[in-house]
Amino acid sequence: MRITKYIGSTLLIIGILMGGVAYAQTPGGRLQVAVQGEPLGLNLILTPSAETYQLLMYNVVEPLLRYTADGDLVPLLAQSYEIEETESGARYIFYLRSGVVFHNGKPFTAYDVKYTFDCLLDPEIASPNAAPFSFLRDVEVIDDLTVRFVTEGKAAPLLGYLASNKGVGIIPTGSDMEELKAHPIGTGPFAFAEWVPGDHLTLVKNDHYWKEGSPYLDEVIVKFIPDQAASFAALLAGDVDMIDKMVSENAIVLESNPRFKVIAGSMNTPQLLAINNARPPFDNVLVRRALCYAIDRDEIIAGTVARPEWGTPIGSHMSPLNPFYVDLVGMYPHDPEYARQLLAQAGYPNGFQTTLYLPQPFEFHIRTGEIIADQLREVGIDCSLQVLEWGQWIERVYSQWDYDMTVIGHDQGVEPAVNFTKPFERVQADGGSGYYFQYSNPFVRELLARGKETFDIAERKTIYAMVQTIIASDAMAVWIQGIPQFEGMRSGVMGYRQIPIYVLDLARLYLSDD
Amino acid sequence: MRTRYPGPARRTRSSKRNASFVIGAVIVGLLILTACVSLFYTPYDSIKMSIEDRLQGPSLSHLLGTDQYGRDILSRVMEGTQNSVLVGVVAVGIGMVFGVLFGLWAAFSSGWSDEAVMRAMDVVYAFPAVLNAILFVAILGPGIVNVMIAIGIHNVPIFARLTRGSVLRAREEEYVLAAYSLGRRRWTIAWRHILPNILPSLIVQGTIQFAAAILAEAALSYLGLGTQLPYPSWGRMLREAQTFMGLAPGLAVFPGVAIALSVLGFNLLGDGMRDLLDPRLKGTY
Repeated sequence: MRITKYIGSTLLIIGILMGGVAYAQTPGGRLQVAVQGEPLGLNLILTPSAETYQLLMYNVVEPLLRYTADGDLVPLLAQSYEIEETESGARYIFYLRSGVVFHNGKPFTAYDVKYTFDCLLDPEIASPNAAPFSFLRDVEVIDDLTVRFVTEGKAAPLLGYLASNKGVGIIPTGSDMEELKAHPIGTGPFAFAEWVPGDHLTLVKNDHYWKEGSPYLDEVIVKFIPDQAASFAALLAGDVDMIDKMVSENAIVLESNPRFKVIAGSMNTPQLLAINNARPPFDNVLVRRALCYAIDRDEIIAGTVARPEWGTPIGSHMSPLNPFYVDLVGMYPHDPEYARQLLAQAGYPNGFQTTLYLPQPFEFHIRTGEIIADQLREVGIDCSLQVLEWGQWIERVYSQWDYDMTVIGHDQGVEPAVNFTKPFERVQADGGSGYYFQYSNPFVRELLARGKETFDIAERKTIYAMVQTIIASDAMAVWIQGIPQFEGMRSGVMGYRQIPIYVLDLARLYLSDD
Repeated sequence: MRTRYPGPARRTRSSKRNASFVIGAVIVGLLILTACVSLFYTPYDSIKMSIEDRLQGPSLSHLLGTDQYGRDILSRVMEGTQNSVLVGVVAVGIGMVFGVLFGLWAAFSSGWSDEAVMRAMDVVYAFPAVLNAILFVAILGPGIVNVMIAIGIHNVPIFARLTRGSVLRAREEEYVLAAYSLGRRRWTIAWRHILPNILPSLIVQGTIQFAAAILAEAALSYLGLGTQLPYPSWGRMLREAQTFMGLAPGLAVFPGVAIALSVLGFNLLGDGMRDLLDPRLKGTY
């Protein structure tokens, strides 16, 4: 009797060990994750909402290509592609994956790709996400699993756009734009189940997903908790398994608790002191350079991020996550004395009075702004602070360009063209800039046009490095830091990796029993 | 019919009243003293940052510690006092001046204009204080001056109702009838005879509204509508401290204590004054 028992328990232990090895990534389970912002609608063709994009992209709808956690561009619904250069432009041919079905049971074909882009570019639908595709002339179906994109010019950024822009996730032919607002359909690892506005959104495992063994989770419940303190309390109490994006101070508290873990990384979001380049005295490059010398990034990082090693100072309009980023932090070392001299040269020996607008509810930017104002006071610039509600900020600063300076972050893609198109290429009739930076430089525009016509990666890197260097030497803005990102979760939540676009990648997540 | 109890019980009662008056007066006195001192002296510049000293606990060099930018919390709490006292004075002042005028007007002009004034007051009064203030700040724009006006506007109906009620009651008293029979004009009677008699209840109400104004200012500054950055306000300090609760709880404790103490002080003072000044309570318990 005793021996049998012994053998039994040994077998049990071996079994558990083997099970553990065989199922290193345990399938099943339900994950509850808290996010701060709620989507405005669930149709990615119609909404500019980053919150919708964050939850649905790659999870519910899938594009032809995708970015990996390392920032590599890999095929997703396309298996491979070819590019043919023509006299007037280029043709991109995509060979699609077979055996893929939508959540509604319909098979995925080239007609769906055409339908998606017809909707995206339809002037009647007037998608806010259509503008970057202005170079797209036609999407042609060659056969059921082959599709061709015809472009004017070489359209080198197209592949990047197809992997990361809003509205590029493929939807089934004949989908109704209104219906998709409340019930998105795609081919992704998770199918949409329900959305209770103000409370939660539920995604369930797609049992017919084309990739064998993926996803691991049976169900994901996304809870909308706007208040940081409330979501933190929910995590500690076990009401949620994970918080997406928490403040660094909470990250420190969580780290010391063995039941939880923190994944610290960086968002692909440069934070900057944006300057109205057209408004005096900021139309004078000497004044803008004086601002650059007056600001001490290390001090800002120490005051906004709980641990200095979590912050990354930046010197150009990109995050260090981006493969096209060049490090120009050294261009303007912190030197208040020299800043004062530059101000004197520009005709402001006693400084001047200005206003710094800060966007509510972005505590991180407000804190940065407070420190900047303190640093500017050191060099004689009397900088008063005004906090604007997000809606007012969009109206006054971003739309009407009625501001001196502001602190904000720009969510970016990996493809540099998508990050630079709006800020530097929009021009008004009088040749002035059509963007809130109010920075207009024809040479930069020429370089950006060349960037779109160049396939060679090394050559593209040179072009975008030149753009970054020019705007930095013009002191178009004071770039501060790549914004750190912290995910807090129960220690049993495994497989999480941040990816360099604003997407919460759920397919890799699994739960291991604590 | 009033039943009178023997002497000793009454004495205990009245000394209790005095105790709350004395404690209230001491706290309010300290508050005003701090506000005055902070005009000339704070241990450190309340807005000067020193990032390397951030989030320190209480020490000899910083008695209450430092905040997330290394600013001295004691200096900020001290300067926040100015803010609270000023908001209280202005908001209660606006409420009292306009409220008394409207109240007198309504009480002496019976009929439709009385109805019109008082129903308008009811509309303002129907909104909760902070909601009311948010409404007005949304119209006027954020900032400490607008917060004072907004809280002041909420105080107007409170004083108007109190004045009107007291005047209506006083109008029937003999001294008023006597003044009428001597041929005094209505406004002279109101100003010279009635107002001095209802002043004690106005002062008591003023003290209580003072506490409410301090709370409302803290709430609005907490919501980012009051005192603008980087100047200190207790409500704003609480809001900023929320992020650091896990790391440095002192950040929230000190402004919180300041708010609680000053509200307590004004309420005790108001209670004590009501008992001392209100003629209806004289000789009762």
